[in-house]
Amino acid sequence: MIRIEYNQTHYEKILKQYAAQFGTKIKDNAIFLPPNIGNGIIRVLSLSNGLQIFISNYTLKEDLLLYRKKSAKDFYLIRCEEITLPATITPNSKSAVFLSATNHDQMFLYPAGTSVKMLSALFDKNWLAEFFLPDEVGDTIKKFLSSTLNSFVYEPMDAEYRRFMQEMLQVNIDKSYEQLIIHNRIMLIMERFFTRLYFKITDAHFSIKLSDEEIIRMKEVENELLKDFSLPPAITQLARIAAMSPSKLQANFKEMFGMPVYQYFQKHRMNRAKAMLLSKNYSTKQVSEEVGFSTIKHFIKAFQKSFEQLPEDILQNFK
Amino acid sequence: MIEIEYSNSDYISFIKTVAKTFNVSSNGNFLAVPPKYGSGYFHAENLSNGISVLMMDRILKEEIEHKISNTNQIFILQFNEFFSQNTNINKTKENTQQTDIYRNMVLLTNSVMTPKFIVPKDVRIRSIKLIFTKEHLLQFFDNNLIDVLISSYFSELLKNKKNEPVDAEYRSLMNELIIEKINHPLQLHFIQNRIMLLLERFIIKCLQKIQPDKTTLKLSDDEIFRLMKIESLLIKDFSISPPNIGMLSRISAMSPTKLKKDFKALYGLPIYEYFQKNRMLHAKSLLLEKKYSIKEVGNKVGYTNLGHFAASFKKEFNVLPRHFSNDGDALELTENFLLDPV
Repeated sequence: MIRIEYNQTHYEKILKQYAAQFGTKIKDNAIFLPPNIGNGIIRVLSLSNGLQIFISNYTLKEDLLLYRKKSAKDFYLIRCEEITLPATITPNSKSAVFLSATNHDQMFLYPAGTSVKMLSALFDKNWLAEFFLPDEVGDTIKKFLSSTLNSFVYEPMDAEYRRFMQEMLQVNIDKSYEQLIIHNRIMLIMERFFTRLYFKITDAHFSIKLSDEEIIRMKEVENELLKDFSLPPAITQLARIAAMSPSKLQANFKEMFGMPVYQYFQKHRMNRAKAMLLSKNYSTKQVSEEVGFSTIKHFIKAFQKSFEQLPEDILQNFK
Repeated sequence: MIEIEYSNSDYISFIKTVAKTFNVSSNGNFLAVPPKYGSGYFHAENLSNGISVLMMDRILKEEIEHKISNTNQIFILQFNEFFSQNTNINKTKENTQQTDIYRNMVLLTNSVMTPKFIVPKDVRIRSIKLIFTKEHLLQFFDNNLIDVLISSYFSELLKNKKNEPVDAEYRSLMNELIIEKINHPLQLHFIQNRIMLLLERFIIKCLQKIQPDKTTLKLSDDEIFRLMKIESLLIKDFSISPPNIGMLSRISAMSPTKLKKDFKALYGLPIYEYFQKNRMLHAKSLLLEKKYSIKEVGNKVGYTNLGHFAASFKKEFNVLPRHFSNDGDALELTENFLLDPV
């Protein structure tokens, strides 16, 4: 297995690490995978508007582990990927467009046989701040991003995104105008991504009218709430953590997460139960206890209410 | 005739000048043509990358003479689409500047070329103009390449070989921009990205022309003009069947074989494929307006059978019409929210 570990926010330096690990040389900001490792190309570009671009388009013959460690600087990246795993693994393809931040560790494992088509654009916090106008739309998106720093903002890869991506990954783009093609496509991806994000945020469930401080406190409350499913905290306890009255807490919570406190708790509790069942490492009874049900009968009833399915049936579907 | 005198630095100041001439107040970068002078509007934006854009769709009751005092070394790229009341486009106008505007053309000029031109009256003209400088091109291209590109383009232009028609691709981008009220949360990015695509397409086509190995278009100016007339007939009304090849051949005064061959050389697609592509692009833009149901859009582009419409749409864009309509959006959003990363 080849392991590449980095905490850089400079794509040219990351490319050097790839080159060193693969035992190959960089030419024109690109490396070709050596035949023993795989087949394809990895390249980086710096665009005139300040974006750094990383393009991967290869098929692996070896297992590859990429480990991005959290970086000290606040960078964001928009990443479009179409990963096709070897046929023995199901589901064998993953494709998505997402925004993530470099303030947490991320690990990607691509087994031998995987084909990776990936394109990411890296930019810092100031770049993002300038991308938006100081208007209602810009403020809404910035506020949303500051409250969900640790999670991905995720979009399925649809025909439109795929088209932009394919236009950039074409092999026969004339070098003389390649910069322009890539610049324009990546900006179209960002336009589409942030537009759709805005529509999602402003969808009734997502409009957050809280102050930054309140958002931080709500995240703390959420952490506490979901820490241990067998011991849900009382509202009064959460109110103390948030330093708010219980009624204000309940209103703010609903504003931010789109549903009342215990409904939210219940949703995550049942999702957790479902994930445990799907892992096949636990019996229904163990799961029921783990997520805090006193009797298995209650668990089954709650499970059925959430997923309109019995716990044992869920395993049938995933065979 | 009305005279307008302005300096070609940016289009927001141009709008102010026009507003003063029309004796109305402009809303910063938007000006509705007062009924006394005609109808339509002008919309200008100075984009964050420094390009200034003017988007307009107007019919004027009087000719307007533009007199430009230039200050800087700039380029102007314009995309014009003109809709005459009578379909018989005649060539009586001798003034070259005027005939240019009568054509559905893409035209690049520089700051010393057009100190004066006249915009005709009683003709609906939809156009996009952008002011940019060499610095903009330097962000993406090598200095030598830009020099070669510009000198070869202008020498061709002087020889009167203006063979860059507004085709389906240009038109679909223009249609996204020439809308009275662009309703987009990231409006400036939306405009800037489409302007960059227009510029990209123009420059790449120019580059391909100067590359010696490419077979260049061997059509006379007059032939191009007749083909453009054919093109405008094809895309005039999608709700009725397009004219057949015999009729088009008569109108263009070319044999059907020559017409088919030359049309493909100029627009890159066979005549009816070109028609179909535009028809689907039109359907897509109607769907994106979110004002019509899928059924209405299907009818507007000449389908009586919705199944056929959906199938043709899918063939063109790989997705069903639903994907671009309101219903589609709602569906996708809910699906996203249900995706819970456990």
